[in-house]
Amino acid sequence: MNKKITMSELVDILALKHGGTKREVENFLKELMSLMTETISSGETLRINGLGVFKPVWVEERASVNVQTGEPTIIPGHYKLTFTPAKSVREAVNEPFACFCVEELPDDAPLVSDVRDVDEMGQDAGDDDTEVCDADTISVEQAVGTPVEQEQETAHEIVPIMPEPISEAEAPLSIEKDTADSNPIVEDADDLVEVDEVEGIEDSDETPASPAEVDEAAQDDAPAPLEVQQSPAVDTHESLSKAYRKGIWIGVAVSMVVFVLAMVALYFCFPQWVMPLLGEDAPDDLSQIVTDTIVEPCDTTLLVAPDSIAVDTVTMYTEPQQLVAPVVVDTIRRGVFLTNISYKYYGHKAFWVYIYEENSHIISNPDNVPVGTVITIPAAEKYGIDANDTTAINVALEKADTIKQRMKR
Amino acid sequence: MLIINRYRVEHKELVKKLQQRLDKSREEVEAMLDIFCDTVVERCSQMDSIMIQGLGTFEARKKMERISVNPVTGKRMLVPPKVVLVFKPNTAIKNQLKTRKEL
Repeated sequence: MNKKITMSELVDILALKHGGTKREVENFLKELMSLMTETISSGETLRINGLGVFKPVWVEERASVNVQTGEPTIIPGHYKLTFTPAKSVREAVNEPFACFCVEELPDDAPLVSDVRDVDEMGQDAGDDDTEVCDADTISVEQAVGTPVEQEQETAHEIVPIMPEPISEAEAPLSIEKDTADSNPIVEDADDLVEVDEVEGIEDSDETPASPAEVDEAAQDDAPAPLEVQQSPAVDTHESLSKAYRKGIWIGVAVSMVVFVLAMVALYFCFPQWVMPLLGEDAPDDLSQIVTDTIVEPCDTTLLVAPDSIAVDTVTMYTEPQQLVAPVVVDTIRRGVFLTNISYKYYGHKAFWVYIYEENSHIISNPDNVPVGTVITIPAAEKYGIDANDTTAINVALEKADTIKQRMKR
Repeated sequence: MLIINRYRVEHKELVKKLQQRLDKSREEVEAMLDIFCDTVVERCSQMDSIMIQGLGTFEARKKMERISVNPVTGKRMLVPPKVVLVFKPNTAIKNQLKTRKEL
Protein backbone atom coordinates (compact mmCIF):
# COMPACT_ATOMS: atom_id res chain seq x y z
CA MET A 1 0.00 0.00 0.00
CA ASN A 2 1.50 3.29 -1.20
CA LYS A 3 4.94 1.70 -1.15
CA LYS A 4 7.65 2.66 -3.53
CA ILE A 5 9.07 -0.44 -5.11
CA THR A 6 12.62 -0.07 -6.36
CA MET A 7 14.47 -2.06 -8.96
CA SER A 8 16.02 -4.49 -6.46
CA GLU A 9 12.68 -5.24 -4.83
CA LEU A 10 11.17 -5.81 -8.23
CA VAL A 11 13.95 -8.26 -9.02
CA ASP A 12 13.18 -10.14 -5.82
CA ILE A 13 9.50 -10.35 -6.63
CA LEU A 14 10.11 -11.45 -10.20
CA ALA A 15 12.64 -14.05 -9.16
CA LEU A 16 10.18 -15.47 -6.68
CA LYS A 17 7.46 -15.68 -9.29
CA HIS A 18 9.61 -16.94 -12.13
CA GLY A 19 11.51 -19.43 -10.10
CA GLY A 20 14.83 -18.51 -11.70
CA THR A 21 17.91 -16.95 -10.15
CA LYS A 22 18.07 -13.28 -9.28
CA ARG A 23 20.95 -12.76 -11.66
CA GLU A 24 18.89 -14.14 -14.50
CA VAL A 25 15.96 -11.89 -13.73
CA GLU A 26 18.18 -8.86 -13.25
CA ASN A 27 19.84 -9.41 -16.60
CA PHE A 28 16.49 -9.75 -18.25
CA LEU A 29 15.15 -6.57 -16.65
CA LYS A 30 18.25 -4.56 -17.55
CA GLU A 31 18.05 -5.64 -21.17
CA LEU A 32 14.33 -4.96 -21.24
CA MET A 33 14.75 -1.48 -19.80
CA SER A 34 17.60 -0.51 -22.10
CA LEU A 35 15.66 -1.76 -25.09
CA MET A 36 12.53 0.12 -24.02
CA THR A 37 14.51 3.29 -23.41
CA GLU A 38 16.16 3.04 -26.80
CA THR A 39 12.87 2.47 -28.56
CA ILE A 40 11.05 5.26 -26.75
CA SER A 41 13.89 7.73 -27.08
CA SER A 42 14.11 7.14 -30.80
CA GLY A 43 10.52 8.35 -31.01
CA GLU A 44 9.02 5.02 -31.95
CA THR A 45 5.79 3.71 -30.56
CA LEU A 46 6.27 0.77 -28.25
CA ARG A 47 3.53 -1.66 -27.51
CA ILE A 48 3.87 -4.29 -24.83
CA ASN A 49 1.05 -6.78 -24.66
CA GLY A 50 -0.42 -6.99 -21.23
CA LEU A 51 0.86 -3.51 -20.23
CA GLY A 52 0.04 -0.78 -22.71
CA VAL A 53 1.33 1.54 -25.36
CA PHE A 54 4.17 4.05 -25.00
CA LYS A 55 3.81 6.66 -27.67
CA PRO A 56 5.52 9.97 -28.25
CA VAL A 57 3.09 12.78 -29.02
CA TRP A 58 3.89 16.12 -30.62
CA VAL A 59 2.98 19.16 -28.50
CA GLU A 60 2.49 22.40 -30.41
CA GLU A 61 4.37 25.48 -29.31
CA ARG A 62 2.45 27.74 -26.96
CA ALA A 63 2.79 31.05 -25.18
CA SER A 64 3.57 31.05 -21.50
CA VAL A 65 4.80 33.40 -18.78
CA ASN A 66 7.95 33.17 -16.71
CA VAL A 67 6.58 32.82 -13.22
CA GLN A 68 9.50 34.62 -11.56
CA THR A 69 9.93 37.59 -13.89
CA GLY A 70 6.46 37.75 -15.44
CA GLU A 71 8.17 37.81 -18.83
CA PRO A 72 6.10 36.27 -21.63
CA THR A 73 7.88 33.32 -23.19
CA ILE A 74 7.08 30.82 -25.89
CA ILE A 75 7.44 27.15 -25.16
CA PRO A 76 8.63 25.54 -28.41
CA GLY A 77 6.88 22.51 -29.78
CA HIS A 78 8.25 19.23 -28.49
CA TYR A 79 7.55 15.55 -28.11
CA LYS A 80 6.04 14.15 -24.99
CA LEU A 81 5.69 10.53 -23.99
CA THR A 82 2.22 9.23 -23.32
CA PHE A 83 1.36 5.91 -21.83
CA THR A 84 -1.98 4.32 -22.52
CA PRO A 85 -2.59 1.25 -20.41
CA ALA A 86 -4.14 -1.76 -22.07
CA LYS A 87 -7.78 -2.41 -21.40
CA SER A 88 -7.12 -5.44 -19.22
CA VAL A 89 -4.66 -3.38 -17.15
CA ARG A 90 -7.13 -0.49 -16.81
CA GLU A 91 -9.80 -2.80 -15.52
CA ALA A 92 -7.44 -4.57 -13.15
CA VAL A 93 -6.22 -1.31 -11.61
CA ASN A 94 -9.70 0.16 -11.40
CA GLU A 95 -11.13 -2.91 -9.74
CA PRO A 96 -12.25 -1.19 -6.50
CA PHE A 97 -14.43 1.22 -8.50
CA ALA A 98 -15.47 -1.23 -11.17
CA CYS A 99 -19.07 -1.25 -9.96
CA PHE A 100 -19.54 2.41 -10.96
CA CYS A 101 -20.50 3.46 -14.41
CA VAL A 102 -21.18 6.81 -16.04
CA GLU A 103 -24.65 8.03 -15.22
CA GLU A 104 -26.73 10.57 -17.02
CA LEU A 105 -28.04 13.27 -14.69
CA PRO A 106 -31.58 14.52 -15.08
CA ASP A 107 -31.76 18.23 -15.94
CA ASP A 108 -33.54 19.20 -12.72
CA ALA A 109 -31.18 17.30 -10.42
CA PRO A 110 -29.72 19.61 -7.79
CA LEU A 111 -26.02 20.29 -7.77
CA VAL A 112 -23.89 18.92 -4.96
CA SER A 113 -23.60 22.29 -3.22
CA ASP A 114 -27.38 22.79 -3.27
CA VAL A 115 -27.92 19.44 -1.67
CA ARG A 116 -25.53 20.38 1.11
CA ASP A 117 -27.37 23.64 1.80
CA VAL A 118 -30.66 21.85 2.09
CA ASP A 119 -29.13 19.39 4.52
CA GLU A 120 -27.76 22.16 6.71
CA MET A 121 -31.11 23.90 6.80
CA GLY A 122 -32.72 20.69 7.86
CA GLN A 123 -30.20 20.28 10.64
CA ASP A 124 -30.78 23.81 11.87
CA ALA A 125 -34.52 23.38 11.93
CA GLY A 126 -34.22 20.16 13.88
CA ASP A 127 -31.69 21.56 16.31
CA ASP A 128 -33.64 22.37 19.47
CA ASP A 129 -30.69 23.63 21.49
CA THR A 130 -30.06 26.60 19.28
CA GLU A 131 -33.70 27.62 19.40
CA VAL A 132 -33.72 27.48 23.17
CA CYS A 133 -30.60 29.61 23.25
CA ASP A 134 -32.20 32.13 20.97
CA ALA A 135 -35.28 32.38 23.14
CA ASP A 136 -33.10 32.96 26.22
CA THR A 137 -31.14 35.72 24.63
CA ILE A 138 -34.30 37.41 23.45
CA SER A 139 -35.80 37.40 26.92
CA VAL A 140 -32.55 38.79 28.33
CA GLU A 141 -32.59 41.52 25.74
CA GLN A 142 -36.11 42.41 26.68
CA ALA A 143 -35.16 42.53 30.34
CA VAL A 144 -32.26 44.79 29.52
CA GLY A 145 -34.46 46.95 27.37
CA THR A 146 -37.12 47.64 29.99
CA PRO A 147 -35.10 49.84 32.38
CA VAL A 148 -34.36 52.22 29.58
CA GLU A 149 -37.99 52.38 28.62
CA GLN A 150 -38.97 52.94 32.24
CA GLU A 151 -36.44 55.71 32.41
CA GLN A 152 -37.97 57.28 29.37
CA GLU A 153 -41.35 57.14 31.03
CA THR A 154 -40.04 58.80 34.15
CA ALA A 155 -38.50 61.47 32.03
CA HIS A 156 -41.85 62.14 30.45
CA GLU A 157 -43.54 62.18 33.81
CA ILE A 158 -41.13 64.76 35.08
CA VAL A 159 -41.86 67.19 32.35
CA PRO A 160 -45.51 67.90 33.13
CA ILE A 161 -44.60 68.71 36.72
CA MET A 162 -43.46 72.10 35.62
CA PRO A 163 -46.70 73.52 34.29
CA GLU A 164 -48.86 71.82 36.88
CA PRO A 165 -48.50 74.33 39.68
CA ILE A 166 -49.50 77.11 37.35
CA SER A 167 -52.70 75.49 36.34
CA GLU A 168 -53.50 74.77 39.96
CA ALA A 169 -52.50 78.13 41.25
CA GLU A 170 -53.46 80.22 38.27
CA ALA A 171 -52.08 83.01 40.32
CA PRO A 172 -50.20 85.53 38.27
CA LEU A 173 -46.91 86.79 39.55
CA SER A 174 -44.96 89.93 39.51
CA ILE A 175 -42.58 89.86 36.61
CA GLU A 176 -40.06 92.10 38.31
CA LYS A 177 -39.46 89.68 41.13
CA ASP A 178 -39.60 86.40 39.34
CA THR A 179 -37.83 86.74 36.07
CA ALA A 180 -34.44 86.72 37.70
CA ASP A 181 -35.15 83.81 40.02
CA SER A 182 -37.39 81.65 37.93
CA ASN A 183 -35.19 81.59 34.89
CA PRO A 184 -32.43 79.61 36.55
CA ILE A 185 -34.95 77.33 38.15
CA VAL A 186 -36.47 76.34 34.88
CA GLU A 187 -33.09 75.82 33.33
CA ASP A 188 -32.00 73.78 36.27
CA ALA A 189 -35.08 71.66 36.12
CA ASP A 190 -34.55 71.33 32.43
CA ASP A 191 -31.02 70.16 33.05
CA LEU A 192 -32.30 67.81 35.68
CA VAL A 193 -34.46 66.06 33.15
CA GLU A 194 -31.58 65.72 30.76
CA VAL A 195 -29.15 64.58 33.38
CA ASP A 196 -31.65 62.05 34.59
CA GLU A 197 -31.87 60.53 31.19
CA VAL A 198 -28.15 60.41 30.86
CA GLU A 199 -27.76 58.87 34.22
CA GLY A 200 -30.32 56.19 33.51
CA ILE A 201 -28.85 55.36 30.18
CA GLU A 202 -25.28 55.35 31.25
CA ASP A 203 -25.61 53.53 34.47
CA SER A 204 -28.71 51.52 35.16
CA ASP A 205 -27.69 51.03 38.82
CA GLU A 206 -28.41 54.66 39.59
CA THR A 207 -31.86 54.65 38.08
CA PRO A 208 -33.74 54.14 41.34
CA ALA A 209 -32.00 57.11 42.87
CA SER A 210 -32.76 59.69 40.24
CA PRO A 211 -36.55 59.49 40.21
CA ALA A 212 -36.51 59.80 43.98
CA GLU A 213 -34.55 63.00 43.74
CA VAL A 214 -36.93 64.27 41.15
CA ASP A 215 -39.81 63.40 43.42
CA GLU A 216 -38.21 65.42 46.16
CA ALA A 217 -37.91 68.27 43.80
CA ALA A 218 -41.51 67.82 42.80
CA GLN A 219 -42.58 67.76 46.44
CA ASP A 220 -40.69 70.93 46.98
CA ASP A 221 -42.43 72.35 43.99
CA ALA A 222 -45.81 71.61 45.44
CA PRO A 223 -45.70 74.03 48.38
CA ALA A 224 -44.49 76.79 46.13
CA PRO A 225 -47.91 77.69 44.79
CA LEU A 226 -49.06 78.26 48.34
CA GLU A 227 -46.47 80.91 48.75
CA VAL A 228 -47.55 82.34 45.49
CA GLN A 229 -51.14 82.48 46.55
CA GLN A 230 -50.15 84.33 49.71
CA SER A 231 -48.98 87.27 47.63
CA PRO A 232 -51.81 87.92 45.20
CA ALA A 233 -51.70 91.66 45.82
CA VAL A 234 -48.72 92.09 43.63
CA ASP A 235 -50.40 91.05 40.42
CA THR A 236 -52.37 93.69 38.64
CA HIS A 237 -52.10 93.78 34.91
CA GLU A 238 -51.06 90.14 34.75
CA SER A 239 -54.59 88.87 35.17
CA LEU A 240 -55.52 90.33 31.84
CA SER A 241 -53.32 87.96 29.86
CA LYS A 242 -54.14 84.87 31.92
CA ALA A 243 -55.67 82.88 29.11
CA TYR A 244 -52.94 83.96 26.76
CA ARG A 245 -50.27 82.75 29.15
CA LYS A 246 -52.06 79.45 29.63
CA GLY A 247 -51.75 78.83 25.91
CA ILE A 248 -48.07 79.68 25.99
CA TRP A 249 -47.52 77.28 28.86
CA ILE A 250 -49.11 74.47 26.93
CA GLY A 251 -46.82 75.34 24.06
CA VAL A 252 -43.83 75.29 26.37
CA ALA A 253 -44.87 71.95 27.80
CA VAL A 254 -45.23 70.49 24.32
CA SER A 255 -41.87 71.89 23.22
CA MET A 256 -40.24 70.48 26.35
CA VAL A 257 -41.64 67.04 25.60
CA VAL A 258 -40.48 67.32 22.00
CA PHE A 259 -37.04 68.36 23.16
CA VAL A 260 -36.76 65.44 25.55
CA LEU A 261 -37.92 63.08 22.85
CA ALA A 262 -35.38 64.57 20.48
CA MET A 263 -32.62 64.05 23.01
CA VAL A 264 -33.67 60.44 23.54
CA ALA A 265 -33.86 59.90 19.81
CA LEU A 266 -30.46 61.51 19.40
CA TYR A 267 -29.06 59.16 21.99
CA PHE A 268 -30.51 56.05 20.41
CA CYS A 269 -29.60 57.01 16.86
CA PHE A 270 -26.11 58.35 17.52
CA PRO A 271 -24.92 56.99 20.85
CA GLN A 272 -21.32 57.45 19.75
CA TRP A 273 -21.89 61.20 19.57
CA VAL A 274 -23.78 61.65 22.74
CA MET A 275 -21.94 59.24 25.02
CA PRO A 276 -18.54 60.97 25.01
CA LEU A 277 -20.20 64.36 25.53
CA LEU A 278 -22.44 63.32 28.35
CA GLY A 279 -19.90 60.99 29.86
CA GLU A 280 -17.58 63.92 30.52
CA ASP A 281 -20.12 66.49 31.59
CA ALA A 282 -22.73 64.57 33.44
CA PRO A 283 -20.96 63.19 36.52
CA ASP A 284 -19.60 66.57 37.66
CA ASP A 285 -22.71 68.59 37.02
CA LEU A 286 -25.10 66.05 38.43
CA SER A 287 -24.44 66.60 42.11
CA GLN A 288 -24.57 70.37 41.82
CA ILE A 289 -27.70 70.44 39.78
CA VAL A 290 -29.61 68.03 41.94
CA THR A 291 -28.80 69.87 45.10
CA ASP A 292 -29.63 73.16 43.45
CA THR A 293 -33.02 72.06 42.37
CA ILE A 294 -33.83 70.67 45.75
CA VAL A 295 -32.80 73.76 47.63
CA GLU A 296 -33.85 76.55 45.36
CA PRO A 297 -37.56 75.87 44.97
CA CYS A 298 -37.92 76.13 48.72
CA ASP A 299 -36.98 79.73 49.08
CA THR A 300 -37.98 81.03 45.67
CA THR A 301 -41.25 81.00 43.92
CA LEU A 302 -41.42 78.40 41.23
CA LEU A 303 -43.65 79.83 38.61
CA VAL A 304 -42.22 81.45 35.56
CA ALA A 305 -43.23 84.74 34.10
CA PRO A 306 -44.02 85.10 30.41
CA ASP A 307 -40.81 87.00 29.69
CA SER A 308 -38.69 84.12 30.85
CA ILE A 309 -40.63 81.72 28.70
CA ALA A 310 -39.32 83.30 25.56
CA VAL A 311 -35.79 83.10 26.89
CA ASP A 312 -36.40 79.54 27.88
CA THR A 313 -37.59 78.37 24.52
CA VAL A 314 -34.63 80.02 22.88
CA THR A 315 -32.18 78.35 25.19
CA MET A 316 -33.84 75.03 24.66
CA TYR A 317 -33.28 75.13 20.94
CA THR A 318 -29.75 76.41 21.14
CA GLU A 319 -28.72 73.90 23.72
CA PRO A 320 -28.02 70.90 21.46
CA GLN A 321 -25.49 72.87 19.44
CA GLN A 322 -23.76 74.13 22.53
CA LEU A 323 -23.59 70.59 23.81
CA VAL A 324 -22.25 69.03 20.62
CA ALA A 325 -19.92 71.70 19.35
CA PRO A 326 -16.90 72.02 21.64
CA VAL A 327 -16.19 68.42 22.52
CA VAL A 328 -15.98 66.59 19.19
CA VAL A 329 -12.65 64.81 19.02
CA ASP A 330 -11.23 62.21 16.69
CA THR A 331 -8.11 60.09 16.64
CA ILE A 332 -5.77 59.69 13.68
CA ARG A 333 -5.48 56.05 12.73
CA ARG A 334 -3.78 54.21 9.89
CA GLY A 335 -5.26 55.30 6.62
CA VAL A 336 -7.15 58.21 8.21
CA PHE A 337 -6.09 61.67 7.07
CA LEU A 338 -7.35 65.15 7.74
CA THR A 339 -9.22 65.01 4.45
CA ASN A 340 -11.01 61.82 5.47
CA ILE A 341 -12.02 63.37 8.76
CA SER A 342 -13.17 66.53 7.03
CA TYR A 343 -15.34 64.48 4.70
CA LYS A 344 -16.73 62.54 7.63
CA TYR A 345 -17.76 65.57 9.65
CA TYR A 346 -18.42 68.28 7.06
CA GLY A 347 -19.29 66.28 3.94
CA HIS A 348 -16.38 67.66 1.88
CA LYS A 349 -12.68 66.95 2.03
CA ALA A 350 -11.64 70.54 1.30
CA PHE A 351 -12.42 71.65 4.85
CA TRP A 352 -9.44 69.83 6.31
CA VAL A 353 -7.70 73.20 6.52
CA TYR A 354 -9.98 74.26 9.34
CA ILE A 355 -9.29 71.09 11.25
CA TYR A 356 -5.61 71.78 10.74
CA GLU A 357 -5.97 75.38 11.95
CA GLU A 358 -7.90 74.24 14.99
CA ASN A 359 -5.13 71.77 15.83
CA SER A 360 -2.11 73.63 14.46
CA HIS A 361 -0.53 73.52 17.91
CA ILE A 362 -0.50 69.69 17.75
CA ILE A 363 -0.01 69.08 14.04
CA SER A 364 3.28 70.21 12.59
CA ASN A 365 2.83 68.84 9.10
CA PRO A 366 -0.74 68.34 7.83
CA ASP A 367 0.51 65.85 5.24
CA ASN A 368 1.95 63.61 7.93
CA VAL A 369 -0.06 63.50 11.12
CA PRO A 370 1.27 60.84 13.51
CA VAL A 371 -1.04 57.91 14.21
CA GLY A 372 -2.82 58.27 17.55
CA THR A 373 -2.99 62.05 17.50
CA VAL A 374 -6.23 63.19 19.13
CA ILE A 375 -7.57 66.20 17.27
CA THR A 376 -10.57 68.38 18.05
CA ILE A 377 -13.07 68.94 15.29
CA PRO A 378 -14.24 72.58 15.18
CA ALA A 379 -17.93 73.36 14.87
CA ALA A 380 -19.01 73.90 11.30
CA GLU A 381 -20.32 77.40 12.09
CA LYS A 382 -17.01 78.56 13.52
CA TYR A 383 -15.39 78.75 10.08
CA GLY A 384 -18.53 78.94 8.00
CA ILE A 385 -18.17 75.39 6.74
CA ASP A 386 -20.88 74.29 4.34
CA ALA A 387 -20.34 71.41 1.94
CA ASN A 388 -23.13 72.68 -0.33
CA ASP A 389 -21.61 76.14 -0.62
CA THR A 390 -19.09 76.32 -3.46
CA THR A 391 -17.64 79.61 -2.28
CA ALA A 392 -16.90 78.14 1.12
CA ILE A 393 -15.17 75.21 -0.59
CA ASN A 394 -13.14 77.56 -2.77
CA VAL A 395 -12.09 79.60 0.24
CA ALA A 396 -10.98 76.40 1.93
CA LEU A 397 -9.05 75.32 -1.17
CA GLU A 398 -7.27 78.68 -1.37
CA LYS A 399 -6.38 78.34 2.26
CA ALA A 400 -5.05 74.88 1.56
CA ASP A 401 -2.80 76.28 -1.17
CA THR A 402 -1.33 78.88 1.16
CA ILE A 403 -0.73 76.24 3.81
CA LYS A 404 0.98 74.00 1.29
CA GLN A 405 3.23 76.83 0.11
CA ARG A 406 4.08 77.61 3.69
CA MET A 407 4.98 73.97 4.26
CA LYS A 408 7.26 74.01 1.21
CA ARG A 409 9.23 76.88 2.62
CA MET B 1 -5.61 -1.97 -39.24
CA LEU B 2 -2.22 -1.04 -40.45
CA ILE B 3 -1.37 0.78 -37.27
CA ILE B 4 -2.57 -2.05 -35.08
CA ASN B 5 -0.48 -4.47 -37.09
CA ARG B 6 2.51 -2.29 -36.62
CA TYR B 7 2.01 -2.31 -32.85
CA ARG B 8 1.81 -6.07 -32.91
CA VAL B 9 5.05 -6.10 -34.71
CA GLU B 10 6.49 -3.80 -32.13
CA HIS B 11 5.78 -6.30 -29.42
CA LYS B 12 7.12 -9.14 -31.48
CA GLU B 13 10.13 -7.05 -32.39
CA LEU B 14 10.78 -6.33 -28.75
CA VAL B 15 10.62 -10.01 -27.93
CA LYS B 16 12.89 -10.82 -30.86
CA LYS B 17 15.46 -8.25 -29.83
CA LEU B 18 15.38 -9.46 -26.26
CA GLN B 19 15.79 -12.99 -27.55
CA GLN B 20 18.92 -11.95 -29.39
CA ARG B 21 20.39 -10.00 -26.54
CA LEU B 22 19.67 -12.51 -23.81
CA ASP B 23 20.31 -15.53 -25.99
CA LYS B 24 17.16 -17.23 -24.79
CA SER B 25 14.18 -18.89 -26.39
CA ARG B 26 11.08 -16.87 -27.35
CA GLU B 27 8.90 -18.72 -24.82
CA GLU B 28 11.24 -17.88 -21.98
CA VAL B 29 11.37 -14.22 -22.89
CA GLU B 30 7.59 -14.04 -23.33
CA ALA B 31 7.04 -15.70 -19.96
CA MET B 32 9.44 -13.25 -18.26
CA LEU B 33 7.76 -10.30 -19.93
CA ASP B 34 4.32 -11.52 -18.88
CA ILE B 35 5.46 -11.93 -15.31
CA PHE B 36 6.94 -8.43 -15.36
CA CYS B 37 3.72 -6.91 -16.69
CA ASP B 38 1.58 -8.86 -14.25
CA THR B 39 3.74 -7.72 -11.37
CA VAL B 40 3.49 -4.07 -12.38
CA VAL B 41 -0.28 -4.25 -12.69
CA GLU B 42 -0.68 -6.23 -9.51
CA ARG B 43 1.42 -3.83 -7.47
CA CYS B 44 -0.21 -0.79 -8.94
CA SER B 45 -3.62 -2.23 -8.12
CA GLN B 46 -2.46 -2.10 -4.49
CA MET B 47 -1.67 1.60 -4.95
CA ASP B 48 2.07 0.98 -4.94
CA SER B 49 4.41 2.75 -7.31
CA ILE B 50 7.17 0.99 -9.18
CA MET B 51 10.33 2.94 -9.93
CA ILE B 52 12.45 1.55 -12.70
CA GLN B 53 15.86 3.07 -13.14
CA GLY B 54 16.52 4.54 -16.54
CA LEU B 55 12.88 4.32 -17.57
CA GLY B 56 10.45 5.93 -15.20
CA THR B 57 7.73 5.23 -12.68
CA PHE B 58 4.49 3.30 -12.89
CA GLU B 59 1.97 4.44 -10.37
CA ALA B 60 -1.77 4.35 -9.72
CA ARG B 61 -3.62 7.62 -9.32
CA LYS B 62 -7.08 8.24 -7.91
CA LYS B 63 -9.41 10.42 -9.93
CA MET B 64 -12.36 12.13 -8.27
CA GLU B 65 -15.84 11.82 -9.65
CA ARG B 66 -16.90 14.70 -11.85
CA ILE B 67 -19.76 15.99 -13.92
CA SER B 68 -19.06 16.26 -17.60
CA VAL B 69 -21.39 17.87 -20.12
CA ASN B 70 -21.84 16.45 -23.55
CA PRO B 71 -21.29 19.50 -25.76
CA VAL B 72 -23.55 18.15 -28.50
CA THR B 73 -26.58 17.05 -26.52
CA GLY B 74 -26.00 19.26 -23.46
CA LYS B 75 -26.65 16.29 -21.21
CA ARG B 76 -24.81 16.18 -17.92
CA MET B 77 -23.04 12.98 -17.11
CA LEU B 78 -21.78 11.93 -13.71
CA VAL B 79 -18.39 10.31 -14.25
CA PRO B 80 -17.62 8.01 -11.33
CA PRO B 81 -14.33 8.04 -9.42
CA LYS B 82 -11.65 5.69 -10.67
CA VAL B 83 -8.05 4.56 -10.31
CA VAL B 84 -5.79 4.97 -13.32
CA LEU B 85 -2.38 3.51 -14.08
CA VAL B 86 0.04 6.32 -14.91
CA PHE B 87 3.55 6.13 -16.30
CA LYS B 88 5.92 9.02 -15.71
CA PRO B 89 9.02 8.78 -17.88
CA ASN B 90 12.49 9.48 -16.61
CA THR B 91 13.80 13.03 -17.13
CA ALA B 92 16.52 11.67 -19.42
CA ILE B 93 13.91 10.17 -21.72
CA LYS B 94 11.78 13.28 -21.55
CA ASN B 95 14.70 15.51 -22.49
CA GLN B 96 15.71 13.23 -25.32
CA LEU B 97 12.21 13.34 -26.71
CA LYS B 98 12.08 17.12 -26.30
CA THR B 99 15.20 17.67 -28.34
CA ARG B 100 13.82 15.64 -31.22
CA LYS B 101 12.42 17.79 -33.99
CA GLU B 102 9.00 17.36 -35.48
CA LEU B 103 8.98 14.65 -38.13
